[in-house]
Amino acid sequence: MLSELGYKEWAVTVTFYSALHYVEAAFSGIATIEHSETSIPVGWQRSTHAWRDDLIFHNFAGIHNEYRKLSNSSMIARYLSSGGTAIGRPVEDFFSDDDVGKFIDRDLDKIKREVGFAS
Amino acid sequence: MSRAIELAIEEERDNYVGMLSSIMLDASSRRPFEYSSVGVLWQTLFPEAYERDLSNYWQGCTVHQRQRHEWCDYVLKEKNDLVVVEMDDIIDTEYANLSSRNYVEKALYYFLGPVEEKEEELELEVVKRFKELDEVELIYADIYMESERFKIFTSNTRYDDDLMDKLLGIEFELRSIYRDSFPRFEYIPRIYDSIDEIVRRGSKLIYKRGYYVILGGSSLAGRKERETSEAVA
Repeated sequence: MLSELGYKEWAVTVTFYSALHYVEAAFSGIATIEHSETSIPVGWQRSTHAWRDDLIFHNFAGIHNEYRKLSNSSMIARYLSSGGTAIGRPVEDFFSDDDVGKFIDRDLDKIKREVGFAS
Repeated sequence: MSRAIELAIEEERDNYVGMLSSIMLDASSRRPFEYSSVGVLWQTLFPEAYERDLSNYWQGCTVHQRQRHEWCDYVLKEKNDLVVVEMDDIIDTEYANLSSRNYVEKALYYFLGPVEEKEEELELEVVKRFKELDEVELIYADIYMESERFKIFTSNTRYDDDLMDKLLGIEFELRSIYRDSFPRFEYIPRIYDSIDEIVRRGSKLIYKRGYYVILGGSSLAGRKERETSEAVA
């Protein structure tokens, strides 16, 4: 359904944030984590994203690449949709329909399965 | 000589000097840096060139001498924390046929002192692995919220899923090795108008396809304008 949307930048971004929430839901079942933002150790000076990435790396290494792919693509999509001078190419030209479809049906799907949510 | 420099020399043995865009030398760790030391460094790097230009050395008549003076001022402003030798223009001249590799090794040995080995090792590993991908054009490093962050610029103008798999495979390996460093990676395809708007002030260019950047100091101050402006070319 998402792949039928006309705005690919939104599809890519929503896919990433869906993955993020699935991961957070999985964290809630891990007593020592519960949520990435509430489990940040005292004295941690790095970003919340860095902490979350590290939690994924250590707890769900099997989906590290899929999660990072969606994360990086979402970053690119958001820059493209903002129309900033740094990036002048429309997102429609950068991601193909097939690319977006794979983000949803392949990468997000794998993340959901690996963290315990059947697709 | 630091392990990082040994690795760099070993890797670029035959085309060592011709590939260099800059050398960073930690002058403060080896000897007090004085204005006169500029001449000593120059002499060590290019003794034959130094002898030829001896009479005009401080007169700033040629492009190279002008660059030397700019370099001197630059170093003084940085309070001896960092010395940068811009070698591109020099290599393009008659000096290119000198056996500069020996001079560079001697200079590196003479001037290098203790560096932050761990950080340097990570940066070298990042370059070593990512440059194997032909699509990787530039790599910048900076510190963002206590993590070393690497911006990998690639040549693709459209999303390339196979390329992303390769990039992330390397990232996974590096994170496995450098767990305590929490390195972060961003992959920027060629869809920008100006790289200056993506590269943050203070970022360090650690790789440019066709060049080899030697890492010899931890200070990033002062490199930003030179490196950024050269990378845009």
